[in-house]
Amino acid sequence: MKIEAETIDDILVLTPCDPIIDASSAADFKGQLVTWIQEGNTRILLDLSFIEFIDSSGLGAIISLLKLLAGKGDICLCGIRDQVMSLFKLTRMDRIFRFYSSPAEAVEAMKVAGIKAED
Amino acid sequence: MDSNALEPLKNDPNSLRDSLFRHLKYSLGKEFHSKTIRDVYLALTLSLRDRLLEKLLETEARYQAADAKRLYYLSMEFLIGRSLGINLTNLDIFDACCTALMDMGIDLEEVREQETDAALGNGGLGRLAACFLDSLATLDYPGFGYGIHYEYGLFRQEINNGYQKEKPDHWLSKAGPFQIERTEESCIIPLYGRIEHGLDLDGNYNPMWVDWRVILGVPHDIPIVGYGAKTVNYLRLYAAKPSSDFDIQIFNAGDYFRAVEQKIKSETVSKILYPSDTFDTGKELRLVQEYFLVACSLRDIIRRYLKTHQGFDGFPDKVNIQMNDTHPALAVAELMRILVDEHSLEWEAAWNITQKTLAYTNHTLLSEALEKWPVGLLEHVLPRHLQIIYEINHRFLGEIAVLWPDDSDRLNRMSLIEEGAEKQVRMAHLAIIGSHSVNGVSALHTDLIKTSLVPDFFARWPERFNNKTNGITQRRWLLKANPLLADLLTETVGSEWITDLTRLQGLEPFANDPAFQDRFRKIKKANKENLGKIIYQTTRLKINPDSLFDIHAKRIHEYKRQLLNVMHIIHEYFRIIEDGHEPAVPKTYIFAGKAAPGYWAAKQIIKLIHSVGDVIHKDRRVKDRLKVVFIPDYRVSLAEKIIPAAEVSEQISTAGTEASGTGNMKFALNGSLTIGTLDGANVEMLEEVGEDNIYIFGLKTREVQEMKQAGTYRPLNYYHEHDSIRRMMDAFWDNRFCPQEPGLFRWLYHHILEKGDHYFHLADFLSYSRIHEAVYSDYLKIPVWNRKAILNVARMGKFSSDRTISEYAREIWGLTPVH
Repeated sequence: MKIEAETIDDILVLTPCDPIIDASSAADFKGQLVTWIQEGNTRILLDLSFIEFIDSSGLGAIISLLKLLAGKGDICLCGIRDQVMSLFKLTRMDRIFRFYSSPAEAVEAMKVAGIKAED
Repeated sequence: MDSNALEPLKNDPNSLRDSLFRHLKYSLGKEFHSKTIRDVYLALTLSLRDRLLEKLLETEARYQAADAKRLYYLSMEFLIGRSLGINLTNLDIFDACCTALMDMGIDLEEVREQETDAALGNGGLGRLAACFLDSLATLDYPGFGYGIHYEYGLFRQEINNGYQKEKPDHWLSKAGPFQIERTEESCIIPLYGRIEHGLDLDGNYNPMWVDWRVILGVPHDIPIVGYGAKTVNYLRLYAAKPSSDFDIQIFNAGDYFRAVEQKIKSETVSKILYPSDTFDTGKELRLVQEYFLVACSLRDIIRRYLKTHQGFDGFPDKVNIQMNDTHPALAVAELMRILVDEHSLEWEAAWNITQKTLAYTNHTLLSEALEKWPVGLLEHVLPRHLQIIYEINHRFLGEIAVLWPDDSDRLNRMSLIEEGAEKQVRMAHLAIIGSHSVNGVSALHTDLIKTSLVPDFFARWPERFNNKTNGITQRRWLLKANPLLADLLTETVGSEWITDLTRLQGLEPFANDPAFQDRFRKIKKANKENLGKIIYQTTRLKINPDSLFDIHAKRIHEYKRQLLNVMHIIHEYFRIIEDGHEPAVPKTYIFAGKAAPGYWAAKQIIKLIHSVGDVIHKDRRVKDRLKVVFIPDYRVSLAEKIIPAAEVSEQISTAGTEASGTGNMKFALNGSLTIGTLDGANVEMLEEVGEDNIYIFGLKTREVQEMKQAGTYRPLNYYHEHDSIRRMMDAFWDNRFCPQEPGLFRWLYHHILEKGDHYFHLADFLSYSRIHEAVYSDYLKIPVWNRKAILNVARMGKFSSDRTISEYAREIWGLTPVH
């Protein structure tokens, strides 16, 4: 699965480019994300604007990132389409992430949150 | 530009003929001269569908303009039967269509025979649902059916050497194109998976349902037209398909077999109707089917609601959902899950909305027949729902503990969870707790629900419990099934009875009129002759149309006591050959019905009926005064031919076992006299038709209950004290009806005499025999018999499903017709 990566300040913005994250691609997706975290990235923004459908294994891959960070970092999501958001709500995963409509909005919010955390 | 620019379709014979030609050519690619009768059937169905869809869209526009409250009837079964005839009737184009086809040299009856029954149900519960849809549309209520699009309906019954053999019913391969697939309204349904326990952003407990598998629910709509064609609602049936993206990815990855395996597994969900009319313990597929129905329905209902409304405070004002038995009871947990998990409502608000939206109909009196699911199975298939059920139970028991302190027995009795070696979820309790209304289906049944079945719940919420006596649609069961009688009635009292069955009271002055009686009797004779032809075609038995037609047609079940009927036939046989009794008029006993494939005793009773018939028919001493017939493959279209021919209708369940019955109503409406116990709706039929016009016998419910509780019933006493009983029972031991297969029916001897005769056959035998004598005596007095039969027809007004639905609409759903 192709994932584009860009760093803005200390926020790693990851954009999966395939329209579907499911059982056939979730392992690779998770593997790449784990690698990014193991390289020391702790503040991650997942831009899901290309994603049309994600199944439970894809959602499971995202949850596993939270577990890996173990409270010592931040993951936010942006660009979620309605269909994908309905799956987050179905699983109640919408209650454990912060969602933003665009990468710019998300980055701004994460910067502010980062400053508050340091204070 | 909009479709209103189209000219409305016309229904005169020329327009119908043009429609038919157009569909033959452009839908089927056939020239007229090369058509088959099946082509004509398909083209006619498509022509009717055009007209139904035109009205369906008009109806929907009317509902939207009124922002009408809608009723959704959730049922695992809809026993629809054939649709072509009822559509022609309700569209009021039967005669026009007949003319159009006749002009083309085609017989409408031959076309109608091309249609196969849609048998998406087992018996009364499924047929009730279908009658209700007819009444909802006829009364202009926004009421819709939601069910499962089974690929295989109830099995076809063949008889082989007297034994039932089940054959698959692939109805879809022969189904007409009435249905419309609505792929664009498919739903994604999650199943299985596990709960990941976590915390939300505020640090509160947050259970997440993860690792689920997904199936797709694809709706298929069948238009349901009310009489007079002002309203067309729909029955939405969901078919299960694999989630196609998932499927394609695996295929692309090269694992073809896994892709196909997953495809097959997903499609299994809607593959076949469970053929039992009691529940199948622990069958995972059945649980998945029930959730599939509930999940697809609720998704669809909420999606439609949210298109035109904000928030859920007004949801119960716009939506009511009726659960037909406990099969859709998961709707309680699923609606809570959607409101709380997906729409972030607080628990109390969600619970308030859920209770105001849902209502439950109970169809069972036997507590052992109440549906339960093992907790382990629910945890495996629906982990989040199990959590919700536990939470519902916790809060509910908390309330009960406050109201009835220090009463742990009550808590155990009322709990949603039944303790034991394997914990089970009591679905009836879930349905009751989650609903604002709980109804039985006859006055007697509702009374027993309150006093015997769930008295603790009645004590907690007396206001929720109410009765809605079942009913039947006179349009299918008289107007369509018995056109000769329908014409006579219309000629006599006008046609208003078609939409107001109480108008048949106008027949009462004619009950003694010789000319009317004569026409009435001739119609019955003609119907009997038709049935005689069908019996000959299917069994090769020749039946005397001048004999008394005594008919017992329903599912084969011990509590319905086909066995009691056979016992009496054996008694009558012995009276003829051993006692020298010479009945003046011959009798034909007709049975029909299917046994659940796994129900051994019911299948043995079918064999018994055939074996008794074989012996009687070969015995020259009988001289054709007694015939015993079993007509195979009982289904709605066959019932429409059997019922009009009946003169005596057997409704002889052990008192306290049949919740209502609806066959009883159909027979009486068609001029049959009832032999029955005081059970189910027979009690109300007695009240309506009068004790002179119905033949009641046997123990009453209270008597049966008392004997059971005291343990005082001794079948052996009856055996020893009564010669007729002993002679009849000894016949099972002595192989009188199975000379070639000795011992075949000895199980009956043991079952009845030594194992307690659970359904009180011997206790009711003498009373049953006496009532048959009374029936026979009246039958010989032709004017007396005709009068009683006519009065039955005249007094069945209460038992129209129009009355039943009006009561549901007024008292449970708060529904208003949209004219």
